[in-house]
Amino acid sequence: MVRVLTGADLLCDLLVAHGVEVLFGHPGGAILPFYDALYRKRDLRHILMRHEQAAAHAADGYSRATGRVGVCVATSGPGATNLVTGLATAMMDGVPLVAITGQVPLSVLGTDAFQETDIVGVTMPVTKHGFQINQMSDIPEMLSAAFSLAVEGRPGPVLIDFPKDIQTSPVTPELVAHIPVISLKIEESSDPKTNPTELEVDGNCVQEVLELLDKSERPLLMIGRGAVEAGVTGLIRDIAERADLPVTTTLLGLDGFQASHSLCLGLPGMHGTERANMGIQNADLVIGLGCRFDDRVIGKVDEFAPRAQVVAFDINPGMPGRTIEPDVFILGDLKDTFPVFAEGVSKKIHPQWWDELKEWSREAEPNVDCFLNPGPLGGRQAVRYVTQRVSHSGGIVCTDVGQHQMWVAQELPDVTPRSHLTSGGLGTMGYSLPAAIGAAVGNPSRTVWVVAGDGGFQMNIQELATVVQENLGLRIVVINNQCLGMVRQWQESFYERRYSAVALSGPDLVTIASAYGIAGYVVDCAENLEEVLDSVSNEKGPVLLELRVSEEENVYPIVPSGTALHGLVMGPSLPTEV
Amino acid sequence: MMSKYTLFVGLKNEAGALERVLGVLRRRAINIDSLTLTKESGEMYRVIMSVTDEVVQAGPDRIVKELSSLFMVMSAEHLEDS
Repeated sequence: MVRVLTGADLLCDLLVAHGVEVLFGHPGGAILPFYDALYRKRDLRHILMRHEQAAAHAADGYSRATGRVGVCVATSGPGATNLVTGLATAMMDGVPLVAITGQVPLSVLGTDAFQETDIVGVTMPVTKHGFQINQMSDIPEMLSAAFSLAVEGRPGPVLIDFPKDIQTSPVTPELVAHIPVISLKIEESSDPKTNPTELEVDGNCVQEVLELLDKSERPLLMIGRGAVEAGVTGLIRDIAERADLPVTTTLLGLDGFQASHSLCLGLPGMHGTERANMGIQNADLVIGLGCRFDDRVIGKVDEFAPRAQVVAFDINPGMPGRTIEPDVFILGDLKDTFPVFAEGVSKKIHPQWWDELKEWSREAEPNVDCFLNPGPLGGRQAVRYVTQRVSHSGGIVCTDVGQHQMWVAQELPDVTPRSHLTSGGLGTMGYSLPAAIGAAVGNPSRTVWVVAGDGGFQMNIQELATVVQENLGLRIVVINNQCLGMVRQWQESFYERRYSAVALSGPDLVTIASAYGIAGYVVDCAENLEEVLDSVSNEKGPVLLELRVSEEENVYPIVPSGTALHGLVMGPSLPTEV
Repeated sequence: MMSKYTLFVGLKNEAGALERVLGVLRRRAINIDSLTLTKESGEMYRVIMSVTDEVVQAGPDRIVKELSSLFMVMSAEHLEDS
């Protein structure tokens, strides 16, 4: 019997034509025809996640780690609404995703049918756009639009809602005849040279920045995720070296510049280094490269970089004025704009500026020493040794949200671009484990590390099953302080130690790991850490390492919310109210 | 900051397009004083809205930029009320 090609088959074919190799998803009623088509489509690999939120995070991790568009799939109703947090995470950090959701048949749309949700409506604020397929001929058109829109300008998530009756309808012969043409079109439009939407680089603005840089005695570069996404981090390093420019890297730009480089000032902002923050406050020129100057980076808006002309290279025309108004704004993809700028940068040195910068050398004052002396294990101390292993293994590290996330940011040694994955803008607890699954699927030859707190880890703990089923050799490190550490820190500092709803009891994580068939280790004193990390590194399959630390340790430095960057506090002597 | 202004938006003639525009306003607590929508030739709507932007005070330039970034918006500009 000849099988009739359906809408679901057509979508599968077109996904392949768009270069999709992997889908992260979870099936259900309204997406069943698509899964049936997938059953026959052996060149599309499907990773069965245990929760749709995790599917969106996995697609996000896959995209951040590989530079490709991540694709996730869910059914209608609860499956679709479960994607929301993952879409919002990707929207905030500019990660290109295509999310495909099943929908009830067109004939019952709007009748509160079983598992019906207006998912295009629900996801409007957290997607770049949402399409609902209303007829067969929409499929090729909307899929092409979704893939272009996801990567065009500032990347982000796009949703395609796919009613069940169109999934099962036969494709008309006329449309079938169009399919090879559609595939060809995709190849053509993916060539950036023929892309008509490419913007002209504003030569006058670039010239203005070059003049500012030439006159500047205290310049500073700030690198964000945009630089990593555009793949210009090598050129940025060359320019920084040529013109002797101090470099600070935001949370999402940490893997854009080597931490050990002599020009690197480290992380700016709320938990940034003294050198980076004081550098910004005393610079006469701050050049932002693909960073959106968000509130956690700039501190008090009116007092950000008070002596500096601020230049922003950004792909988003909506960036100026959201937080700060840059003096010069250069619109465009850094891969187009930065080489034009780089060409004009001349050799220069700034010895006086560096003498000043080197004065700001105070280290944070954690409660625990950062070296492994006998005694209880410290959180930041533990993270330092874990991140060294990440770097030595040439690995990727995915962090969750909270104290451990900031410690990893502060202690991250040299890693290659696309090797530090974290939810920066949305601050999504539960991100790390599913994102690591996506990163590992996209990079089978690399070691992928998860560093999570005990709070965030439990928000997507069910994904341990996916890790085992796909046999992904993740190194999962849980920094367990038996509480929601960052919330506790704020309650200690800003709510007079009224610890409200922060204590977490259990479970025994090694037992949990063993229930999933994952090797488990636990360390609670500093002197054992290196030895256990050796064993963890040598494990063949997935492994979980629980590091038990005190709940008392806080993250320093801290720029309290609403304070200027120069108001950073190095240790536990904070004002009680801000 | 100008708290009352008029927005002129050219919109694709598709279901949900106006809702996207309204979402940009709602998110910033901007209230609509009047709204006119006309279908123009081809695939376009022309929307004229007078708004009050007192809570967030995002300002007309910001709103025009945010509207311009929407997939369904073909053009956006503003006129300040005197």
